[in-house]
Amino acid sequence: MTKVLLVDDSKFSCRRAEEMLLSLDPSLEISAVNLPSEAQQLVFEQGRKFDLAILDFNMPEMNGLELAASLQSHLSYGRIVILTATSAFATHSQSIPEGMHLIQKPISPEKLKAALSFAAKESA
Amino acid sequence: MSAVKTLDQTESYQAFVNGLAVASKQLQELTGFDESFAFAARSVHQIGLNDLRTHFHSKQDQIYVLDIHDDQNISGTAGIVINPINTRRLVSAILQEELSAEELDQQISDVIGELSNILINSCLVSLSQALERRLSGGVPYTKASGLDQLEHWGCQPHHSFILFEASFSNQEKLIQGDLHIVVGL
Repeated sequence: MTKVLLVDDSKFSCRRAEEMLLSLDPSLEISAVNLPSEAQQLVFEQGRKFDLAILDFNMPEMNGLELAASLQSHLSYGRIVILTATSAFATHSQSIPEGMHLIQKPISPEKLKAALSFAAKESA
Repeated sequence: MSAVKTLDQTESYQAFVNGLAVASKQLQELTGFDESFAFAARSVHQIGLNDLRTHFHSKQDQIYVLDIHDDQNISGTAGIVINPINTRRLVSAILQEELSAEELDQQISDVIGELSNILINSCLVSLSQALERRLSGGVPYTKASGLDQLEHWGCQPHHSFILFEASFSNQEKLIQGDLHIVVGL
């Protein structure tokens, strides 16, 4: 069973992503939280392990790349997906580290399916 | 000399129109509405700080805002202005759930914040190319008053800005509102 950490400060977006992911693969075990600190609590304090992390980029506390860096030793680096609505990646003021997958919001089942395929390929 | 310089025929105006076309597609994907939002670019102006304050002073509807960053510095602000009736109609249509008025109110800021985020950033991609700047939007937040409180991003009296304005509507859902993007020059 694939364990997914989903972090997005938009509750609406988070809930929609969770619904889409479960419609693509009902066997996914998804832990959805709205703040980076809640994600860190799951990993550092509760010792939870995840196969895939799907992280929003623009969040309070820290951005998705900073969160990914903080979780790096607890996650496979190749299994991190960054969700974003920001223009920062398109305008090259931010770049996505090699080995991570980027999804430009709005999310769709097709985009999430590609992310799941990416994660499966990286873990193979 | 006029303090407001119209830039309607410029590359900036065309970039804004192009950005709005992308935003319309993105919002249709977000909302799942059969009919997407129609955008009408009203104008692109160069404007000074005092005129900008005056311009925004009367706009007191609830607004959903995000700061614009130019690499690491805050260099602008953007917001959508939409009245409470249209806001409730929009959020209710997006969520497609039976919600009490209280439940709906609890979700408005979150849903409109995400919508603003996608809409404004779609425009910023296009405007970045036209202005040769790397503009990106920050975390969305809600303001209960006008866009005229600009000091928090370090505006000085001598600063001038480029102001992009458009209206948006969805006839099917009876929704309309305004979009304002301000970028410091």
